[in-house]
Amino acid sequence: MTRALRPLAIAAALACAAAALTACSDGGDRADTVTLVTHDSFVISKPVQRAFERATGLELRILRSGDAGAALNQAILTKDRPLGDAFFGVDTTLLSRALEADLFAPYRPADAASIPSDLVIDRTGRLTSVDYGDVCVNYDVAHFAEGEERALPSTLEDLAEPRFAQLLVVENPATSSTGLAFMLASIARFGDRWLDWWSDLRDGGVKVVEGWEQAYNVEFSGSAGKGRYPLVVSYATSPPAEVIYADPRPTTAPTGNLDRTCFRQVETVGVLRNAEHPGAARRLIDFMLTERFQADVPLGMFVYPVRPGTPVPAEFTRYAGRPAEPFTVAPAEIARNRDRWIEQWTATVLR
Amino acid sequence: MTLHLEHLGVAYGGRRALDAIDLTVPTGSTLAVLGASGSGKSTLLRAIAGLEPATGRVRWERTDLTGVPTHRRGIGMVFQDHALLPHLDVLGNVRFGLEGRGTDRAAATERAGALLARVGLVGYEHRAVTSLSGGEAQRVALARALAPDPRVLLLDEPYGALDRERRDRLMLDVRSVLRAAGVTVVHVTHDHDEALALGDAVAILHDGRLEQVGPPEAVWHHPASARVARFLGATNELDGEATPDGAVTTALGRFPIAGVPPGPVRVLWRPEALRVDPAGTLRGRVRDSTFRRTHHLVTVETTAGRFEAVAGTGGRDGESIGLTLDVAGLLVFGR
Amino acid sequence: MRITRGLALGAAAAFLVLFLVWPVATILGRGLWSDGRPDLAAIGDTLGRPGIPRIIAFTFVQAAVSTVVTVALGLPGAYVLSRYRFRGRALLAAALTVPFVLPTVVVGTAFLALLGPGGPLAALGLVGTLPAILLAHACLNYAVVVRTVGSRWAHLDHHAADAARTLGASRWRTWWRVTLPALRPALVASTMIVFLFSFTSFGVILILGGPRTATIETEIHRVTVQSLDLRTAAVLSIIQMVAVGGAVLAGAALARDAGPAPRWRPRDLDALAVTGSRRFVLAGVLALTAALVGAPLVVLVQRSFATGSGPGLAWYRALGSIGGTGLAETPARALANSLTFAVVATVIAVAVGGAIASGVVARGRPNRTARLLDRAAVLPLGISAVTIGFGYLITLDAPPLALRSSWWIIPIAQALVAIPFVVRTTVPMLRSVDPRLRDAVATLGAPPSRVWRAVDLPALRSALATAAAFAFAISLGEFGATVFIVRPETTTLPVAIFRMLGRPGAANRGTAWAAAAVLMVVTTLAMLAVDRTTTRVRRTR
Repeated sequence: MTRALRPLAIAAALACAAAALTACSDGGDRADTVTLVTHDSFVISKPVQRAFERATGLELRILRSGDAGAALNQAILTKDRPLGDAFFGVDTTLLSRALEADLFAPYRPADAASIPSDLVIDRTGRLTSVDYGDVCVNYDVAHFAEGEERALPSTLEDLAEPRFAQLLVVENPATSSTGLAFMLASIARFGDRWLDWWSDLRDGGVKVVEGWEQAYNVEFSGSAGKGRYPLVVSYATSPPAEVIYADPRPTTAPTGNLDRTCFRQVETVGVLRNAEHPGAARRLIDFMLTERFQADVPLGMFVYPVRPGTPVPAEFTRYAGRPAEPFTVAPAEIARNRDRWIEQWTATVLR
Repeated sequence: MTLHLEHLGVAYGGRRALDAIDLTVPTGSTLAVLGASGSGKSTLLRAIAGLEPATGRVRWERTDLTGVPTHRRGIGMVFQDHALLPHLDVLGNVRFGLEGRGTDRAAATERAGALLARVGLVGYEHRAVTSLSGGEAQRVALARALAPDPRVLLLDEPYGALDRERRDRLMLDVRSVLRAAGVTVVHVTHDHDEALALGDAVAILHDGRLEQVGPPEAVWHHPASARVARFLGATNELDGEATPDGAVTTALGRFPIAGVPPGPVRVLWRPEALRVDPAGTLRGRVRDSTFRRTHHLVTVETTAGRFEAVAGTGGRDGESIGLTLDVAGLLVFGR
Repeated sequence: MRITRGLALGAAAAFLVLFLVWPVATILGRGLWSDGRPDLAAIGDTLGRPGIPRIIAFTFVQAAVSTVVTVALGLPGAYVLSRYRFRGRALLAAALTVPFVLPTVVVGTAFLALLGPGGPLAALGLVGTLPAILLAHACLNYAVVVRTVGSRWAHLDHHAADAARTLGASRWRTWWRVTLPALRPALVASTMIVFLFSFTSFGVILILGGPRTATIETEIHRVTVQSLDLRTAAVLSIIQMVAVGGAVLAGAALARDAGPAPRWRPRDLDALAVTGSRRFVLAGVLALTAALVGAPLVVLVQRSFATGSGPGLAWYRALGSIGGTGLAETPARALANSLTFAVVATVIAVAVGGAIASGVVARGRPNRTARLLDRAAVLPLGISAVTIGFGYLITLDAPPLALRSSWWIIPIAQALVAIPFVVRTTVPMLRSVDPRLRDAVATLGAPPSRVWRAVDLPALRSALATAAAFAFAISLGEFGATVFIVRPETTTLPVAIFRMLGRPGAANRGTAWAAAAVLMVVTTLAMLAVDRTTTRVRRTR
């Protein structure tokens, strides 16, 4: 073939090369690896990962694929030929979907018995709770510190009052898991009247955005975005994060959370059905309940460990109010009503 | 060694652009192909070069070129619009055909330089082809086509875009270059002066058919048809009747012309055959008069119609004049 | 040559079938095939859902208006860049291309910083409304119009316009009757591409739009990712593909009436000196470019230096460490990944796109397969990234094509997005080659391969360089499809930026801005390098 034709033939060559390379492409095929499929927010620090690998002789591969919902849906789509061995990230709002899809093989680690029962969300013996966190309304400390007339709301009812109008930014539950959690909090609190509360919020000028990033980083006045709204639906641990990631570190947190507005989410891990290395997956899950891993959870993912007695960083206790009685909704009920609730919410708040 | 075209034909869709052409071009000679635009003369060249799928055969002596792809025919071509490669300089263009045949670069450069010198473009090697004048570009195109030493060179209206003076000079230059190269040439043009001046033989093409082929003088003096005669400058024509006694009668009079079969005829003649002459027997009035270097071309109105005639001096509009028709210049064809 | 071209076309077709048609058909099949029969009721069910008709209507309206705005703003830029001779032209050409190649997420967020709360233009209250989306689309796609139209404009034979002026045509009439028709193929091509980009826009709508500006693309994403409602997603995907197919066909029909392409000629033969009123035109274009392209990018750069304790390089230093980013690799490593994938994707895109383009314009009878490929090559633009990403998950999962966990899948997906550009920029250039040049070269004894090299390649070179530059930039900035298939060790910089933006704390955001600024600079340098190369090619003529 002459030189001139080479560019045209590269397509063919590359296609062949790509095909030839596939033999070694699925790295997870080796027996001494374990692949954890999870969401983008999953974090494990290097020392902890090395500790696991040293202790078990397994190499840990982590496949992150989008947010929790996206990652789970991908896992469901690929369940006949899963991308990995274990899946982390099924939370309260996603539990029923995961169980209905029959995605997980039964496994109950020995340490699971020590998990407080209010943090156990799967009673079928498939998914093991690893951490929990709360979605709460955060406030901008500076805004509410200025003057007497700027009283701080404290309950969900307060937020719907005219004096707190034009202050809150929330996420669309159709596109954001944070928004979904907050909607569920309102359903847990108000029952059948939850939409009335939302129409009060709408009349009070609640700001709706599509995702947490925009709400927190752009519209919220208490974080780097210096937006217009001093109240935002975020996480109970966002205030300590503001301190830990600030440079230089402030002595007091610039934000706080309203601990009576929270929805609790528990995150779980399970062994994927059809996994190539189910044994290795079980050892990984065992490890995720050890104190070594559990102590890594707060600063990595900004959630609380489920293992009782696991130390949490000082910033967490100093800057994050720990909600005493967070709202919850039964996973089965969420699965049954989720789409209907979202459509009702959309009809009430957006139109 | 001779180029043979046998029943060469080209069809576009259902239309025959070229219809069963038979021609031979002896080596070293020039065949001038004359035709109006659309007569198929460019198609003929493209068929010879193998650029157009054709029926019939193209032979070089005993070698059948019919199925041979263009680039292996050894037939060069100079295009009307030069078709120089815009991204190469003059030298690059001339060297192009040599490089493909494995000639080493130094030898190719040397030959290209020699060819450029032969076409009068010394020192042009590194000029951008986009900066050349039409005549210069034509010389480069010629040098380029000659570089691979083709057995046959096809020239497609090579002087079409040039002004007259440049064209005449270039024509002579090119002829000497081609003669020196000893190459066989097929030269296509719509200009009969050019065809007659350059062709060892002239072929007249009309509507894809070969009307006539022969030496320039023969074609000029003895056109094979009224159509050829018209094409070769016979702008005057008239119906007439040939009589068995060797004469032709027309509205302008009776002329003794031998060898014409009796019957209705068409009589044509060039303006040179009709001279303005105070002693002439024919009468007419001047309608228009144009100076043409060696003579005046005069349009005259006669009882038999309007004709073009030549005169030594110009005439005034409406002036009554005498005319003489030279019987030797009459071209008679059966109707 | 014919055989080689056939082989190349076949390889290109195989590539598209394997990495586009099959995955997408499979995922659509999951949604629309039940009990071995097509589930036609899905169409009615989807269209009957509350909100869906409004979403479809809004998608068309925003895409159409975005296109009109972008083309109107881009034409003056195309004129100035292609016809004027002034210092800094290459820099301007590269600069205005920057937003196009940045991750849409970053450009969207930069506009948000400009127009949103706390931004200099917050008072306009544009965020969440159509105008904000239009501005961002115009900013992103400005380069498409300027480059595509400008490239043709630069090579136009301006004698036709001069002739029209001598025939008594006013400047305006000359532009309308002579220049515009000659530009039409490029204009149609760029209009179509801008429409498709706006129609399928994702990141921009998500960030600058509000809950009331959902489009078909964002809705496909939502119902797939959040609800795993493949049935609705499939119907919406098909609606989107039909719309995109319609736009492509309309574009092809419009381009067909455009008449023969003008003869190719080197650019810069008669570039205009900037004097008199041309100074105002140039100033206007510079001002427009500064406002549309410069403003959001300046905000981006400014924020990348704005550390907690005043201006500094802290965020740039953070690029070398993992810190609290939650990434498996440092942003610097992600940049290296991005560059590697972009090179591979560019090679694939130029090879496949080039094969399609040369097949499309192959001499002789118009090839039906080639024409089909020409159309099909544009389709990746109309297929939502989530559909392709999910399609790969369930098709490329078994040997010999177990590519879904291999890094190869990333440049392949990126190349798919870039191929339409390669085809669209290359075809008009190939068409403008004077066929007699090919004949001339053949009579000089050049075999077909050498004919291609001597005639088509040089004319193609600037188009291919442009195409390659765009392919490189698209691959470098590609986000939508990449985000579905990257692995921790193969994270690209745009994905890393997105991940960092999604994590709390000023450090992550600052590092994201710094990474975006670096990506911007790298891209600009790449574009400048390409412009240099093509300029040098021209100079040596």
